[in-house]
Amino acid sequence: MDLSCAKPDPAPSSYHQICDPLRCDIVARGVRQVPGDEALYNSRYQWMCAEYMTCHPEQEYPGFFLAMSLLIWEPPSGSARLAALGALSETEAAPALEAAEAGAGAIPSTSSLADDLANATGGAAKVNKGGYTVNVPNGSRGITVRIMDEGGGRTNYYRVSVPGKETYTIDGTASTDPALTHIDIRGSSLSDILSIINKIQGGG
Amino acid sequence: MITDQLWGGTLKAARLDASTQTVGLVIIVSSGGMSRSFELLLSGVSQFQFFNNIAGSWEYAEFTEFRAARDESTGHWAFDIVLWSEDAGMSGKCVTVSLDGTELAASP
Repeated sequence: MDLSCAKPDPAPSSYHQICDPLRCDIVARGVRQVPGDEALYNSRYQWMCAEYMTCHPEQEYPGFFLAMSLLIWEPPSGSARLAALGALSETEAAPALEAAEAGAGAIPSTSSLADDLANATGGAAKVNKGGYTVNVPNGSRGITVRIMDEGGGRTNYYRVSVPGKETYTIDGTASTDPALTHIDIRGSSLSDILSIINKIQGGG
Repeated sequence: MITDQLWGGTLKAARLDASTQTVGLVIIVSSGGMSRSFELLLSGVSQFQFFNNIAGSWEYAEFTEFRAARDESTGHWAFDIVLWSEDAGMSGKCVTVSLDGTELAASP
C-alpha cells in the first residue's frame, strides 16, 4: 500500500466526493470532541483511516487524508499518522468508534425514534398529543419514554420516567429539573435512552 | 403560552372550590438549584376530572404537561393535564385560565 501523501488528482472538492458522507461525518464529529487529547485523537484518526481503506480499497489514501484534514481538529503531521496506519487492530479501534458514534449520526424523527425504541425494548409506541409515548416493560409501573415533536415551548425532545417515582436526566440520574429532564433529540438518542433504561434497571 | 414553564414541574397542591367553581393548582418548578412556586387558577369550572391508573402511591406528582385550547364558539377553555403519563391526569372545562394572576390568552 502506497501511503505517500501526494496531492490527489483531481483534488476532491469535499469529503462527500470520496467517502460515505454519514460515516465520514460521524468520524469527523467524533474527532472534534476531543481537542487536546492527543492519544485519543491519534486513535480515532487511525481508526477512520483504516476503516476507510477497508471499505474503499479503490480509493487513493492521500485523497482521503487531504479531505479529512479539512474537517478535523488540527491536522497532525502526516508522517506520524501514515506510519501508524496498518498497526490498528479492530480491538484498538473499537473504543474510538464507540466514542465517535456516541456523539453523532443523523438526527432521527420522533416517529422513527419511537419505533426503534419500541423494537429495541419490546415496548409499545403510542401516539400522544404532541408526539409518541413508548411504554417499556419494567416491573409494575414500567418505564415511560415520551418522545415529543412539540410541547411546553420545546420541540424534538424526549423524557424518561418511571411514573409516580422519578424522571431522569441524560446521565440516568433522577431529577425534578425540567431543564435537565427535557432532553433534545440527537443522533445518539436511541443509545442514550437505552443507556438510561439500563441504569434504571440496575445495569449501572 | 405562559404555562409552558410549568411543564416538568411538581404539583404540590390542588384545591377545588365548588362554591366559586374554581380549581387552584400550586406547581413548583426547580431549575439550576432554584425553586419557584406558581399558582394556576382555573375559574368558571363547568367540568373537572381527575383520573389515575398508575399503581401505588407516588413519590410526588409530576406536572408533566399542560395543554389548553379555547373553543371560540363558547369562549371556554378545555384543558388537559398529564401527571407522569397518559395514565394519570386532570381535564376539564373552564372560563378562564390564569397563572399568578395573568390570564391565558387564546392562540391567534
